[in-house]
Amino acid sequence: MKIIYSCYGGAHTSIVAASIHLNLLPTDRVPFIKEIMSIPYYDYITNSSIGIPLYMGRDNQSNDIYVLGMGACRTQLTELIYNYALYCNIHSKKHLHVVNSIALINLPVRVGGFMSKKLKLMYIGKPITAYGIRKDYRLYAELVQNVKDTLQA
Amino acid sequence: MKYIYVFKKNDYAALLAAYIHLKMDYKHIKTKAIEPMKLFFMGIDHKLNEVYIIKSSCKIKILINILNGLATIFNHSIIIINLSKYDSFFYRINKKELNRSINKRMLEWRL
Repeated sequence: MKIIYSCYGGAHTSIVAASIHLNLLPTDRVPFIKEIMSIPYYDYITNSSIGIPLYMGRDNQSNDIYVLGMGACRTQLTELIYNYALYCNIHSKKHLHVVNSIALINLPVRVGGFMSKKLKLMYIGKPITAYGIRKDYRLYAELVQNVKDTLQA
Repeated sequence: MKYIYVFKKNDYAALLAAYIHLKMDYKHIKTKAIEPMKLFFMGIDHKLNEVYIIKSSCKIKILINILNGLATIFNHSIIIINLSKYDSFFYRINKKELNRSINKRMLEWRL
């Protein structure tokens, strides 16, 4: 099965959610800012690369985990992804799961993301996004647990 | 191989390109409002390639990146043709020039 964690740019929230899914970040405690900033592809994607899926790895159940930024048209693009899989006739909708993590975004993540991507102030923006993610980290862990429970059901 | 014609405003240009690609009669094309962000299957050409059109409601670059990414994820080969050049007012009213321009580029797209 292919699981795609999506958000606006594919640089922060979706990367963290995918990392939790792959056990790169802990679920029993809140990680430090340095731990969050050191996960692969964190704050990596540029504005021109929004839409390019990043392969994060394979989980314990052999599901392929991807991260994808969708910009502003997330609902329509999510539908498009499912329709594309259906058109291929090889993969039905059951073999694909798109998880939207944009709902977990908070003010520090927005501000940090803006500073990092639009103003190119990565040294300031990146830690601010990590701080914002750390603030609501439990919600990320809950989202990933819900996804894993859904897959097992 | 899948050919996907991506456009934003000029529905006629996409339909024309697809009709020319499929060697169908394009003199009587009627454009109804094409729903955005949905893949429309137009047919299979003489080389057994599938031809689709898709209207973009977001930034075309994001859509093209996503389509390329999906092709990589599912191991498909696709060719995306961006028709946003023909979204200008000039091409929307001047169908003869649009026809000429697309016919001229069609050889290049199918190579």
